[in-house]
Amino acid sequence: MTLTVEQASIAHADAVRPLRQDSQRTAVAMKHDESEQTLRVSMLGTTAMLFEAPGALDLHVQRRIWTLAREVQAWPGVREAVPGVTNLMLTFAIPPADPASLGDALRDAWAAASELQIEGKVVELPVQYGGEFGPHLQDVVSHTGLSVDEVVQLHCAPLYTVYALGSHPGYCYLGGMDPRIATPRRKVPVLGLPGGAVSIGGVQTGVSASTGPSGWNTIGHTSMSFFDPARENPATLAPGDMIRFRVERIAS
Amino acid sequence: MIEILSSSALATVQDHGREGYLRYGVGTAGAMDRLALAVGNLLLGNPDDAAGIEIPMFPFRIRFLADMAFAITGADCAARLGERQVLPWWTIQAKQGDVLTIGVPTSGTRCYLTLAGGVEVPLVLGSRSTQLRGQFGGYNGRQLQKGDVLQAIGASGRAASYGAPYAAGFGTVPPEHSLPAPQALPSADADQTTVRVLPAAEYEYYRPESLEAFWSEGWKVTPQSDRYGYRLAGPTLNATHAVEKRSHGIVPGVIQVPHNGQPIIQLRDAQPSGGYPKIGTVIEADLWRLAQARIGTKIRFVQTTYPEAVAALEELAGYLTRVRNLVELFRSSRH
Amino acid sequence: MTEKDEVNIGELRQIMSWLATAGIEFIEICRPAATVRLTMEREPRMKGRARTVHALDDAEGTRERSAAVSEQSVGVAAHCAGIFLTTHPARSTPLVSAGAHVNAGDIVGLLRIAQLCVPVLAPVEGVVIDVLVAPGATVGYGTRVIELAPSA
Repeated sequence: MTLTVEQASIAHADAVRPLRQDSQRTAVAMKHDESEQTLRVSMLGTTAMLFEAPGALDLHVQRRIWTLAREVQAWPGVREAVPGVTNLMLTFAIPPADPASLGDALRDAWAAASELQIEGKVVELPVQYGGEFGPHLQDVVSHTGLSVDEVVQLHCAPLYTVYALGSHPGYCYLGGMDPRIATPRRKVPVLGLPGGAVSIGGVQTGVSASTGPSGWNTIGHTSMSFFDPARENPATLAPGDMIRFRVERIAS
Repeated sequence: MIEILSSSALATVQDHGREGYLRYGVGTAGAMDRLALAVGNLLLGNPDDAAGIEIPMFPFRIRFLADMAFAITGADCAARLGERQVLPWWTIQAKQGDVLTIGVPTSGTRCYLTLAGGVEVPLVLGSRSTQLRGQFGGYNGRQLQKGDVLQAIGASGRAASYGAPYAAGFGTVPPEHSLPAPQALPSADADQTTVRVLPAAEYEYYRPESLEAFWSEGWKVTPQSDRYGYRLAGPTLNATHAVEKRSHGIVPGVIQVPHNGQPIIQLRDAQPSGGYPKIGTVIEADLWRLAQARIGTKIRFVQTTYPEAVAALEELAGYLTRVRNLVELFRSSRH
Repeated sequence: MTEKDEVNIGELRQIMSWLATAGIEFIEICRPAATVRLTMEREPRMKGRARTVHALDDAEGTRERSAAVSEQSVGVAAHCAGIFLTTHPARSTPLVSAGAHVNAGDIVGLLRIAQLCVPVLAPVEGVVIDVLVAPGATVGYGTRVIELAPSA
C-alpha cells in the first residue's frame, strides 16, 4: 500500500467576497496572493497531517478552521490540532494506521463545520512609531508613496483579528491590514529583532513576541507581553481575539 | 551535581521535546538525536522523559561535585574520566571531584551526557527542554556556560553505584550496528548520511530535473546549519510556478525550499509554522541519523513509502525495548 | 510485529553449571529466528604463546614490558557467556594488544550479549601476553580470554 499525496479540486462553496472598503468592520478580506486555495490533505512524514481549506484567505474560512480544530482536537490518536492561516495541522504520537480514512474524516468534518463565532477580547496596543523603534518606516513610505502620518493612520485604523498563533511563542497571525501599506519582505533579514517590534511583511502585519530574526519591515514598538510560560494558558492572545493599534508617538 | 568547566560550548539541557503547545507558537525543541538520549537514559535506568545535556561543540569539560552514575551516548568523543578512557555508548560511576573531558568526535557531531535520574531543572509547559527563542525551559532558557552548576535528580531506589566487577561500567552496541541501514546497499562514503524522505504537498510543483536532482544529489551541509535547521547546498530546485503558501504548521524533518532554491531541513528549534513550499519530509525514524551529520558532509535523500516509514519507527521502538530489557536483566543479575 | 529477545543471564549461568555437571561441553539451540550456542571451554593452563591471535596491531608502536614479570601467568576469564570482542564496535583499534601494560580494573576486552557490551577487566596489574580467543567467538562463563603476566 502506498499513500499518494492527494489533491481534490472542489467547487468553491463560498462566493468570492468583495473587498470591503470600510476598514472598521471586522470581516475584512485579507488579500494575500490574489489566489484561491484548493482543498488539500497531505502528510508531513509520519508525524503530522496538513489540511488546507478551500477558498479565499478570509475570516469566514478561518472561523470554520477554528470549528474544525475544536472537533479534531478531541479525536483519539490526535496529539494536537494546530490552526494555521486557513489550514489545520494534526500531530500524532503514533502514526495513524490509515491516513487515507483520516483524511476522509477531515473532509467530512470540514464540510459540516460552521463558522465559530468567538467572543474574543479586544486588546489595544499603544505603539511608538518611527525613530529608533521603526528603522524601516521610511522603506514603507518609499514603497507605498504615502506619508509617515498616512502609513501610521492606515496601520491604526483596522480592528485586526487573531487568525492563529505560530512562528514563535505567543506570536499572532493577524488579519485585516489595509493593502495600501503592504510592503515586500526584506531581502536581508534583521537578526535579533526585539520582542514588541511591530512590522509589515507583504500584506500582513504582526508584533514579534520575543527577540529573534525577522525579514519584515519594522515600523514601531509596543510593550505588550504576549507570552508567559508560567501561566496555565501561556499565550496572552488567542484565535478570535482582536487587536487595535493606537498611536502613542510618532518619532521623526 | 556537576559544574560546567567549558565556556561557549552551545550545550543545552534537552529531553525528548515539549509536546502539545504548537498552537501557542511553541515548537518542540528537544534532543536532535533522540535515540542517543533515550539509550543514555536506559543505561541509567532513568525515566524515559529524563533530561540530559546535548553537547554539539568540543572539547567539553565538566566536574562532578558528587558521586554519580552517568552515561555518554551519541558521537564517539574519546571521553575521559580523569585519565581513564570512557568508551562510547557507556555508563559508569563518577566520583566527586572527577573531571569528565569530552573530546572532538571522529565521526558524528553531537553527544549526550545523561545523569542518574536525569538533569534536575523545572518542568516548563510539561518539559525540561530548552526553548531558546523566548528563553524558557532547560537551564534558565539558555545555553550552558562556564560555572553553571546542574543538579541530578538522582537514582530512584536502585543502587547508584556499580560494584565490582562492573566498576568499569557497561554499555550498548551503537545503534548503527543494530538497526538496518536506510538503504539496502549502504553508501560506502563515510561522509554521506542517507535518510528516507516522504514527499510533501508541494512535491509535484517541482520540475522533473529538480526532482531528479533532489533524489540523486549529495546535498552539502553548510556551516549555517544548527538546531534550527540544516541549510543544504546543491543544484537549484525550481518549481514550475511561483509558490507561496499561507502560514501553516510544520514539524522537524520538513524540507522547505525558499526563493533561492536551496533546501532547508527544519529541525528541533525551527519555527513551528511557515509559508515556504515543502518538497518532502525526512522521516521521524531517520532524524537521529541527520542529527549526527557533520557540517561539510553530504545528505542523500531516499524515497520511501508511508508503511515503510511507520515500520522504521516500530523498528526503533523495538530496539529500545530490547535494550531496556537487557539492561534491566543485566542490572538485576549482578546481585 | 517485533518479538522481545530476552537474554536471561541468570538462566545461562544455571544452564552452564548443568552442562558442566553432565560433562557436556557444547550445546546449540536452533529456532527459526535465532540460534543459541553455549560452549564450555576447559582449556589447560597455557604457557608462552601456544596460540597467537590475528589482526592485533600494536597501535602504540612500542612494546612495554614490565621489568619484573612473574613466572606465573594470570588468566582473565569471561564472567558470563557472550561474544568476545577485542575492539569496541565503534572503534577500529583494539582495547589491548600483546605487550600492552594494564592496570588492575582496566578494560581488556568486551563481551557482546545481544545489544549490550560488558567489560572484561584485568584482575591485576600486568602485561598482556596473549589474547586467547578470536574476536567474534562465542565464549562461555569461565572461558579464559586473555593471558596476563602480572607485575610483581
